[in-house]
Amino acid sequence: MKYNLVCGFETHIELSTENKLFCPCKVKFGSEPNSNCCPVCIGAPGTLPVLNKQAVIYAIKMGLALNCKINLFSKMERKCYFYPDLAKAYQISQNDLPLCGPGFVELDSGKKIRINHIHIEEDAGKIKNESDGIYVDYNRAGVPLIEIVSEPDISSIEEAQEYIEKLQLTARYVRVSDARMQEGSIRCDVNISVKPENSDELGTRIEIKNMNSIAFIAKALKYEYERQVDILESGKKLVQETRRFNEQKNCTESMREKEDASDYGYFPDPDLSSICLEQEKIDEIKKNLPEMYYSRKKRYIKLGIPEKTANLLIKYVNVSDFFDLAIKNCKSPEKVANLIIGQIFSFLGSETEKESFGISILPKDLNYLVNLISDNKLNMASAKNLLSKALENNKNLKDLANKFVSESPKFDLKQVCCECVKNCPEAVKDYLSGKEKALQVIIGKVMAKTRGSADAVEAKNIIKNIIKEKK
Amino acid sequence: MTGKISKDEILKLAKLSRLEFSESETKKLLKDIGNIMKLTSKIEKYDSSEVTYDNIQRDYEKPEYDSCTHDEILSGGINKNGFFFVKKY
Amino acid sequence: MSKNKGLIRKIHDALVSKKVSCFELTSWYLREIEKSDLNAFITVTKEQALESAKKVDEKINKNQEIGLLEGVPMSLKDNFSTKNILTTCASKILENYVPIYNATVYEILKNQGCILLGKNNQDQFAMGSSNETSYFGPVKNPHDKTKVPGGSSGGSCASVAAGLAAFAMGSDTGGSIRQPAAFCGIVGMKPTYGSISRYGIIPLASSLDQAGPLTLTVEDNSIIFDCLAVHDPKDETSCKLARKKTFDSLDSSIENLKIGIPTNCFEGSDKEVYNAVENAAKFYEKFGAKITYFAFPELDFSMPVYCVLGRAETASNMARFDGIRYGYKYKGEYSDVNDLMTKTRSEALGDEVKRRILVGSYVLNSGYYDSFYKKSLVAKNLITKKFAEKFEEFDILITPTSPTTAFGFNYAGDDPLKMQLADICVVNANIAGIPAISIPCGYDSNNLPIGMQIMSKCWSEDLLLRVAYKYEKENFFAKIIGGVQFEI
Repeated sequence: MKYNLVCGFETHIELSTENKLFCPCKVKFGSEPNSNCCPVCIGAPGTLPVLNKQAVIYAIKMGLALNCKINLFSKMERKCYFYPDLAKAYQISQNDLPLCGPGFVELDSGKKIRINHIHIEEDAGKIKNESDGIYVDYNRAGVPLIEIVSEPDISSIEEAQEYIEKLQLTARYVRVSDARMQEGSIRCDVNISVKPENSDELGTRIEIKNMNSIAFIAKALKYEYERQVDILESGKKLVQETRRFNEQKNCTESMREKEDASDYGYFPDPDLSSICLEQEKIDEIKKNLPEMYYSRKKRYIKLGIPEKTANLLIKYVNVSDFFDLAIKNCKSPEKVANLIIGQIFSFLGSETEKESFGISILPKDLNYLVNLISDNKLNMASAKNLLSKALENNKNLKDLANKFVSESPKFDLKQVCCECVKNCPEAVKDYLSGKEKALQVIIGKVMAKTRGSADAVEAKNIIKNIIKEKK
Repeated sequence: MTGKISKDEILKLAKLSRLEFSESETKKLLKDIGNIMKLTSKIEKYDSSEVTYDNIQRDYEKPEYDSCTHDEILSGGINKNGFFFVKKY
Repeated sequence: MSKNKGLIRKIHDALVSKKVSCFELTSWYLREIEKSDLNAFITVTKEQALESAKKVDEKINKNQEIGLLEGVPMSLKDNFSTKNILTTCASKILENYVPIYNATVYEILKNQGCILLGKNNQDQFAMGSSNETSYFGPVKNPHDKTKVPGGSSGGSCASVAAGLAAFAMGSDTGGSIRQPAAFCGIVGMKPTYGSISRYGIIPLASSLDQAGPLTLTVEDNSIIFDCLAVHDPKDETSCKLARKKTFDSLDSSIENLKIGIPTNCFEGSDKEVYNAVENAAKFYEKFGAKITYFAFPELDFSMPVYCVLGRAETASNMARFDGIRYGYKYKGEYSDVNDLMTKTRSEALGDEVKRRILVGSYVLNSGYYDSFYKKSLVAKNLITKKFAEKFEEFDILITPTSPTTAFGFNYAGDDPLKMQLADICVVNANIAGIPAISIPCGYDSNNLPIGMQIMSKCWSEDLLLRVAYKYEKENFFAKIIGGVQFEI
């Protein structure tokens, strides 16, 4: 019997607001424990929360980008449970009236993964379990989070991976979070069940926590799917529970009995007023949202950028923004793209640096360089060298390019090609008798004559035409 | 508000609230909650779907706080290497 | 007797005219506190008080102007956070807790130049009506030491009544300022919910708590209210309206008041209490007031609503006391962190506290949420609406503050609900958020004070204080028993 995977995510994204959700502590990640806390976020008796409006606006932006309905009225609730990393022994969150209603994420296939709702809540602190005891650090306590709850619409591991990647992209494009799994600014809990192919009845739902990368999510889902199918096929029943993914053993392990929502004793937080929004304000936010990654990708492909390159360009919004500026009135956007994902990316090296894209090159200078190539003043090889030089030595690219061009030998490529064709009758004969490779000899002579400045591709075309004409 | 509360329910609620009660205390609690249920039976006639929440909009104004030092933050609990520490036996 | 000036202004005059130095005055209060056997204080801040007094004297000696409250010795209920000063809420679980920040109320009074004498004893975490649930022992009523001072602000009221502080601050969730004020024969006001900042006051029930002044006279209450009723951005429930000053209009006329007397609040009162309050209400007739007796059946729901909402919020407010970040931590062995929390809380939280937490937890969990909590919210909204309607018909409502005068220790015996029902007259104002004041209106045959409660609509403290002031002007019953004596 074939079993189908049924999967949904609860994704937490840390918002990159200036301050924490309910107190004035900065949202920054200090290395020294408990160095970024105040009486409010360590839950000192008598302190009160005050809602950070910026966090609400960030959450609205994300909701709009995910096609959600924004609720004009929502309320903050206390979710009560005991855990050492929860300073007040309740988390201020939302329950039956969340900030954002239903929405969706559209996958490349066109399938829509529905979002049930998005709510805002505060993060808890961090616990370190050592052999001698528990160490608690509240630096992270009170950081604003949005929780995005999807419907169980995901039916394959690839879809799961794509869903998370798209949430990351969305968060980065609306600039509400850097959404990095390794750093914990995006965290996923997945709910997975399996059901027989022909059945409509959903199976027992199991939650998996603690997956720190998209690769691990895939591994966990694969393992869990097989585990569940095995159990069901042997006639046994699955226990509804929470499991954690064990990276070392590459498997999932039981954590604890899944708590009923009722055990959280949700009630409206009496210290906070409800969130009342005006439609005009929401419309204004919507109007000012930056262009999303999916429309940019479509645009790039229309410009002739191959899909693989386009995916690399849209992965980080700073790269895409740079690219968009660099291709204004550019004769060859594809060359710009190649220089970015080639020279610039290899210069930057790490993903973090690619994400921040803090280079000294100005987009208009890259534009200028590429236009020089298109005007045959420069070939691609030289352009790449110049770009690398400018990056490594922190020099102005335009100046470098102008200097290089002015120092280059001036030549008429057509004339040089004619000369070389004339001087290589053997090569021409070989070419005409079918040996393509013979052209290289002539091209080599052209490159030597122009001291490497000629564009080899361009030269090849001209040589071919000359030979054709001569026939 | 149906019927009485059972001893098991009291134990469950106590565990949820991280409290332990002696036998005699549990007996008292059964009585106490029973009395409250009687007292609050008057509210039963209300329709919970009529509930409204305070929707007076209060503008967020960025408050000014005194800053606390790192040492002050840690001064209340047991502190080891800058962390709040709970010893394991 | 003449009642021209309240205690605060008397002290201010004495300081400015150099009849007494602030240091002397503060020393007298400290000496009386030390001598006193009422157990009204948990912490006495002797050095700090004298230091502050010296600074005030420096200013006076340089002939610099000082504010009305500057140099006035006061005390705070021990649930007001005071930086670097022990704040216990009269509980073992906070017996060693020293806050790292100040409650806004204390910050304001400190900036006004008030001298903090110490932190008052109270019912543990403000749960109680007799100051008997304190971990630090009960407080005695200065009028009769075999009687309770009331609660939960028992220590604060006893201090003012016994001349151990010129005024004190208390907190009121279900009558905890007004009832002990009545038992101790002083003035206590609970302002409109949202008037005074709750930032730094360790909460009992967040949607019902309010801080309020405990004073010898209505004028004193008005002065302190005016300085504390300001918006605090650190408290989202704090009102943003600029408030009218109440002091300036205290003596204005109050002709033709429409007074409502809800008969349900008088039923069950002791006869002497009933008569005293009724006569007190009749005082206003000479100003053309019209008294109407009416039935207010919705008040029957106040106590159940208070029990449900109050305990639910309390359970959640008490959850943070687990010994990890501050406060008492269980000293024995434990199996894991949950066990540590359980043992810490079970040992160090008082019986009444644990009981209320459990009831609150019961209210909030699953099947019971709809029946209890949501319905209570519906009832609360109804009560609030009804009060608003009544205040279109009446300017003020008058009731006894408490159906009895101060009772003896262990009044409720084994029945905690009996104690709660003593609050039947006062809890309504917390549910509806309206301001309410208790002023002394006589004594019973045992010389125990009787309190009259006056209520008015939201945000009308100026009217409330004016009405109270008029009564007090011709019917001054407050007494300072022992302690630092002033003639008022």
